[in-house]
Amino acid sequence: MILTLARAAMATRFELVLDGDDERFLRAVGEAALDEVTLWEGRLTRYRRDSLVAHLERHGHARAIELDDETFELFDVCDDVRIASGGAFDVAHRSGGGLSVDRAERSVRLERPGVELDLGAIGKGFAIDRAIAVLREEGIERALLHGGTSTVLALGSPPGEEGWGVRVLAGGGARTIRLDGRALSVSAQHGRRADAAEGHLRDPRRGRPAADLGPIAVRAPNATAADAWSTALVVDPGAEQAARSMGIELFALDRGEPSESAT
Amino acid sequence: MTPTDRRSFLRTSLGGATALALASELDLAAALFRANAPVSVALVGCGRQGREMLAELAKMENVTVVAVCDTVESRLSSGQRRVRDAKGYATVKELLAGEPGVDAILVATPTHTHREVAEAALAAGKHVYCESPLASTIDDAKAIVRAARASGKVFQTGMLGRVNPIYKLAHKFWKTGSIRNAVALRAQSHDKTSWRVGSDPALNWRLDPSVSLGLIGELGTQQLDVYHWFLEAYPTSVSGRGAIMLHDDGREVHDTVAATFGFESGLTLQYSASIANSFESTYELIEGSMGTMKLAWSWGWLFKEADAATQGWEVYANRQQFHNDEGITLIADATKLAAQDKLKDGVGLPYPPIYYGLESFLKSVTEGAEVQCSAEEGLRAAAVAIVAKRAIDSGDQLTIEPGLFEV
Repeated sequence: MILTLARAAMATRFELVLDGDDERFLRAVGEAALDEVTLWEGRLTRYRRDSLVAHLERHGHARAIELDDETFELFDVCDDVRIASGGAFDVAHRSGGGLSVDRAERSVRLERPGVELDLGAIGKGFAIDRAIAVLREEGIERALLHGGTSTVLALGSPPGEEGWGVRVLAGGGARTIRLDGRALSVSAQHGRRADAAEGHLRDPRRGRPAADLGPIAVRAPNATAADAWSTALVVDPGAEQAARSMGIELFALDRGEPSESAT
Repeated sequence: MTPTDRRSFLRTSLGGATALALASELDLAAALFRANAPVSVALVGCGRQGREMLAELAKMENVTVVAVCDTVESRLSSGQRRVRDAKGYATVKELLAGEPGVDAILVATPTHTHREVAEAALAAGKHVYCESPLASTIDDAKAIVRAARASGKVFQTGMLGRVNPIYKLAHKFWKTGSIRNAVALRAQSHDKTSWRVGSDPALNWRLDPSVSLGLIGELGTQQLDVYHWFLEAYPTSVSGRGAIMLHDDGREVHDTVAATFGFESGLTLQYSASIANSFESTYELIEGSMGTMKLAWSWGWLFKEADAATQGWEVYANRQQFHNDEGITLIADATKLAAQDKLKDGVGLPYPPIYYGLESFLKSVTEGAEVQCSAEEGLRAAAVAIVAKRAIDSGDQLTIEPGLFEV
């Protein structure tokens, strides 16, 4: 049977599709997975004073803040993508950078007071990865979880299929990208507001909106990387080589590249 | 006065008598807790609540989590993942034997196991913080009170209204008569979820009718205690109903309950809890003749009646619209933030409520600060919930005998 659960979080709707035999069990583990999304929303949001991000902003300049392994892993990826993308992705972009990550101490520090952290371009992906980890621990083999349809991760394949086909609508057409244990994230300078005069992504190095290169999709081994790189590559398409070397695949959606399979 | 003068005047007057409540200890709400001497703690029970405790402890200075303990292996490892260098133990006995130097034990196990863990920890000479509800039977709750008294150690029940800076601020407003007399009380906890946890029956104790206090106990106790604290009174009667409205999956524990509590003063508290619906989440209302307080754990609001006197600082306060009503936001750090013209930045607690529970406990342990919520208060709140559960299950109106509170 297919069971669909949903949760409002991160200013969008997360939807989880599970496949299995025991509805009670599926619902229980599905809720536990979505609880992870809620948990990470609470930690990573910029919009609540009681989030971990707010705590780091308040105290991270005075001392290095040690993080638990899961949270450190997130900041570690942030730092990796920042370096690999030449700064196109930077969670401290609102204040022109200023987050240092110490791998030996597994801690983070803000280089000065007033550094703002914005994990909006990676938090959804990370929450999806944590949720999927819960499902894996519970032995779930087939599932799909998306956050607001912009980042999606699929586990296993629907019966009789090779991966989950995710249909992406862009540039007036549609294409299908296959996922099997991997994640996909879409991003565009204008988001859903194609008529907006100015896009919503800023190039942190220039402090102004990035050049508009049209909508893209990024397929990656996990949702955290997919989410972060989909932003990095819209901000700076020149980072494509670095992205590919990290196992990231880029689909430029309005260049008419063919689907991986018919829909 | 020009508008600017007026603002400065009001800002200055925030420090004055009219704004006494705003200029409370809440200025300290966002300050980070630093124990005045190194203190070591161990967590027993690594479920969701336990893991939240670990996340908040990690923010504090001079506080070390030396060990975590859970009988379920997957829970134990998930607890250990969240704290560096903490040892793992399967039972509280092994924990206490392996960590003789630990100062305090945090109990976040299933409610019906609190007694066993708390008694063992107190007998070993440890300070104890125990999650609410204190116990699932009155006998167990009384046994915990006796053990806490005999130990001479700090014992705090984890009821978080009494430690919450926004609730403390509201309490000051209440005590100074800002909404005058309470005329009605209403509270709810609505959160749509199955309450099931994986496939392990041990993890599904909330759905086990032989040990579970149901929604009124597991969700209600915290909220009922807010009224016990504000009114300095416990209800004397309770009636209620419960049903399975959504989760018809073979369970026996109700997914929706409603209860009516009567106080000797004539006040009535209407309480509703559901895991079949999420509307308006969790809050407590105190409806008074001159205004209403709405408390929602990380947020709080004051709604004034039109004929209530206006205080100077209110002109300057942050407000939020709720359909036809306008609420004044209860803000921690109000004085400091107002001085910086950043009142809006102060909406919501700086840390989750559990942070303040742990902080006050550790202050009692390290500085001898007064315990904010004692074992006795834990017993009384648990007893009210236990009688309410019986009333809901039987459909009868029951008396809450004061004898239940005596140890």
